Amino acid sequence: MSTGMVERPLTERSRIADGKKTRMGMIYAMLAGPALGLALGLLSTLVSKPPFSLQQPTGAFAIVALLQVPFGVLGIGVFLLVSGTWRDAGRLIGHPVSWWNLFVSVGGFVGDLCYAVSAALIGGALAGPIGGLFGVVGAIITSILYREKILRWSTLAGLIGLGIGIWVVLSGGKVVSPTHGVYELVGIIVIIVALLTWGFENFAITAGTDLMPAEGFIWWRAFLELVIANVLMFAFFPVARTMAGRVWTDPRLITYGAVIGFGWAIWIIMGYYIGIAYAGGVRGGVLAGTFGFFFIGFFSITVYGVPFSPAIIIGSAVMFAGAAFIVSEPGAYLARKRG
Amino acid sequence: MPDITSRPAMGADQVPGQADDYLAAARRFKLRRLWGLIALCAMLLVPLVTIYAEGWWRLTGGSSSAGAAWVLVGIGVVVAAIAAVLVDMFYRREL
Repeated sequence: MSTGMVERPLTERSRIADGKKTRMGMIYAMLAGPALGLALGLLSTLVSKPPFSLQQPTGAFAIVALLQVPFGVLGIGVFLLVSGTWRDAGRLIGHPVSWWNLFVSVGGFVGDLCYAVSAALIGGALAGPIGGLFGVVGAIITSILYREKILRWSTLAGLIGLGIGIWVVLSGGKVVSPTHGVYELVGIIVIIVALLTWGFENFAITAGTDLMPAEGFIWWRAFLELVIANVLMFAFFPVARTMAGRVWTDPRLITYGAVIGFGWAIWIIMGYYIGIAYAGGVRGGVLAGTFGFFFIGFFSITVYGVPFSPAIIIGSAVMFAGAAFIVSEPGAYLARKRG
Repeated sequence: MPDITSRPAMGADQVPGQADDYLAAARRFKLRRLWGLIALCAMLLVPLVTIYAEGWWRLTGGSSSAGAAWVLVGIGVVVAAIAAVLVDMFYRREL
C-alpha cells in the first residue's frame, strides 16, 4: 500500500473506493455481455431444431429446463467451491434473509419462461427488443423503490441511448411477428410481464446484495429455478418427456447444453449479480441487461446465421454512446448511488 | 463497566488497523474470484473444443452461418470475462 493512501483521510478513502466500486461494477456488467450472447444466441438457434421443434412453446421451455439451468447450476457451484464463497451460500439456510432468494428465483424464472413463450408467439425479432429493455425498466423500479439516483442529465441521456440502441440493434429493422391478432397481443402482454418480473429481480438483487455477498444467494436462485422449471415442465407438458429422453441420449445436445449453461453462468455471476452488487440496479442492472441482449443479437447476425442489417451498426453506436454517458460519470457522484 | 465516552475519538485522518485487514481480505477475495472464474471458463472451453474437434458445429449452421466461428467466439468470451477481474485487480489495486 502506498504511503499516500495511508496518509489520506479514511472518509476520503472510503469515498474514492465507493466510486471505483460502482464504476467497476459497470465494467463487469459490460465485459460479461459476450458470455450471454454466446449462450442464448446458441439457445435461440437450437430452439427451432429437433427435438425442441416437436411442440412450441414447450420446446423453448424444455431447452431452458433441460440444458441451460442444469449446467448453469453446475457452473455456479464449481465457481463457489473454487472461490471459497460456498460458505456464504450455506449460511443462508434457515436465515430469514433467504426469502429474498425465493423472491429473486421465482421472479427470474417467470421472466425466463415469459421470454421463451413470447418468442414462440411473436418471434425473437420482436420479443428480443422488448425483452432487452428490462434493464431500463429495472433501473426505473430501483430508482423509485430504492431511491437510487437516476435524475442526473448524463444518467437519463445514457438510459435513453441504451434503450433506443438496444431496440434498434435487436429489431434489426425487421420487426415481424409470425402470429397476428389475439396471439400477437398475448405475446406482447407476456413479454411485458417478463419485463416487469426481470425489473423487480434487478431491485431484489440490489436490496439482497446490501445484506449479503452476491455469491451467497446466486446459486440458490439458479437451483430453485432448476427445481421449479423441471417440476412444472414434467407435470404439465407431456411432450417434454420425449424431448428429455432425446436430449439426454444425444452427446451433441449435452455438449451444446454445457456451452449454454456455462456461458449463462459466467454472465449471471459476473455481469448480473456482481454487476448489480457493485454498481446498483440503475447502473449495473441496465448495463448487464442491455449489453447481454446486445451480444445475443450481435452474435446472431455475425456467427449464428441471422441475416445482417445496417440497423445493427446504427443501434450499436447509439447504445455504446449511452453507456459511455453513464460509465464516465464523476467518481464523486458514483460514490453515493442513493439519495 | 468501562466508560467508553472517555476513549479518545478516532480522527478522520487516522487509518485503523482493521481497515488494512479488511483491504487485505478484499485483495485475497479478488484473487479467489479470479481462480473461480478461470475454473468456470475452463469448463466452457472443454465443450467448445469438443464441438470444434468433432465438427458438431454444423448442427447450428444456417445457409448464411459463419461455420465454426461461433466456437472460436467462445475464446473471446473467456478472455473478456477474465479481463474483467484483471481490470478490477488493477483499477482497484490500492483497495
